[in-house]
This record gives sequence, C-alpha cells and structure tokens, in this order.
Amino acid sequence: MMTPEKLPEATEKVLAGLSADENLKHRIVVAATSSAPERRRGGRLVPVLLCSLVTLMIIAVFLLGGKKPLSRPSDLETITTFTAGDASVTEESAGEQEP
Amino acid sequence: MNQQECAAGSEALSFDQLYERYATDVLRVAYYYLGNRDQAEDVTQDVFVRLIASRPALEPGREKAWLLKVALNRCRDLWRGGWFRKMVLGHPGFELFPAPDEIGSVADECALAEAVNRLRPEFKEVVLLFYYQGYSVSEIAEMLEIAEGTVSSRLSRARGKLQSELKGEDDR
Repeated sequence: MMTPEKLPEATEKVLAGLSADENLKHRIVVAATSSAPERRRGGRLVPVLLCSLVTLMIIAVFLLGGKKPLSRPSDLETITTFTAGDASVTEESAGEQEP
Repeated sequence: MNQQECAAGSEALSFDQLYERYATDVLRVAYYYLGNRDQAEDVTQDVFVRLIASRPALEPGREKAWLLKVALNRCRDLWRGGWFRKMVLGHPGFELFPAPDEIGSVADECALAEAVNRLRPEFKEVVLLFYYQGYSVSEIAEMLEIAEGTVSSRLSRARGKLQSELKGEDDR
C-alpha cells in the first residue's frame, strides 16, 4: 500500500506531464510588464474620478438650492378653474370663435 | 524582471533562476489543491507576477517557502470563491499527467495522488508541505501562520484519512 511518505515519488510519476514551461514563463513576463502601467493609471484615475464627483455634487446643490420650493403656498401660481357649463366661459369662448 | 534581483545580498536569485527552480513545484502544489490545470497555472502566474511587482527581500534559502505561501493563499481564495459553483456543478475530475511510458504502471501512485486531492483544504495544505515539499512542522506553522500543535493534529488526521482511503482502494 502507498503511504504519504511516497508522495514525492508518486507525484513525479503521475504529474510528470505537468511542469512550468516556457509558455507559462512568457505569460508571466507579459502579465508583469502589462500590469505595472495599468496600476499607475488606476492610481491617477481614482482621485480624478473623486474630484469630478465632488464637483458634480456641488453643481447639483447650487442648481437645486437656487430653485424656490414649491411647497410654500405663497409661491404657487394660481390657476383659474371654471366649472363645466359655466355661462361666462361659454360666452367668452363663443366670442373668441367669431372673427 | 529578468535580471531583477529578488533578494537582498549577493546570493539573491534572479527571476529566471527562481522560475527554473521552483515554478513546477508551485504549479503542482496548486494543482493538487485546486484539481484544475488552468487555475493552477493562473495561481503560478499570480505568484510570480507578485514576485516581480513587489520584489520582496527574500532570505536566501527561503524563496521557495515564500512562493508556496503566496500560492497557497491564492489557492485558498480561489477555493472559497468557487464554493458555490463547486456545490452546484460538482468537483472537476482530478486528471493525472503521467509520462507516456509509465501509463498503466502507476495505479498505486495515482490512488495516492487522488486521495491527497480529495482531502479537505486544511489537511491538503499540511500534507503537501510536509510530505511533498519536505518542510518541518515548525516551518509549516510559520508559513501557514498557525500553531505547531494545529499542524501536527492536522497531519495526524490527514494521515488517518489517507490510510483509510488507500486501504479502501486496496480492498476493492
């Protein structure tokens, strides 16, 4: 029966075809050289994004702050309403229709 | 970083030397852990990319321990991350890659390798470092950042599981 002590020899036999080759080495070198500039770009990108976000928030606050709130009754524009069949409206509209 | 030195001092090894000496060990440990060749290669890539990027000051003679430690950490992350997928889709088969002239004569070795692959991750780690890579209990404790007693007890339990699995194989 095999024992765990024989693991190195067993591995040499059953994983003989699994080894770190030149292709993997090439992949590593490519990944290492391409990841370095990305990391630097990412490092600059974060503060730029944060600044843009803060600027947008400030603009949004100014825009919203400049508007009068509609909840105050005094600020609301009054809209004249007429009930259906109101004689005054009928007369006015009849007068408007005439050239 | 071809000629970049990975350690301080005159005995520092270059990336090429480190890759030549230890990459296959890192790859095979990751493969035992994950049972997936593509993921094992990704782990090996991550480990060496990190070596190039962070340029750690490795003590001469302890480079392999650093590489294996980083590899096992990465394997653990991948293992945890793929937990749901594994539960739904099941474990991929543990494929073996014997030399062409040895196919058919390595049944016992295959059984041992498969039994190691089937161990739970915490047992697999100590078995691979102790039996496959030849580290001592104290070195493993330092690498895995656990107590020596924990390493010993995991080794003992892993040995028991392996023996019962292999005995079961023999009885069949």
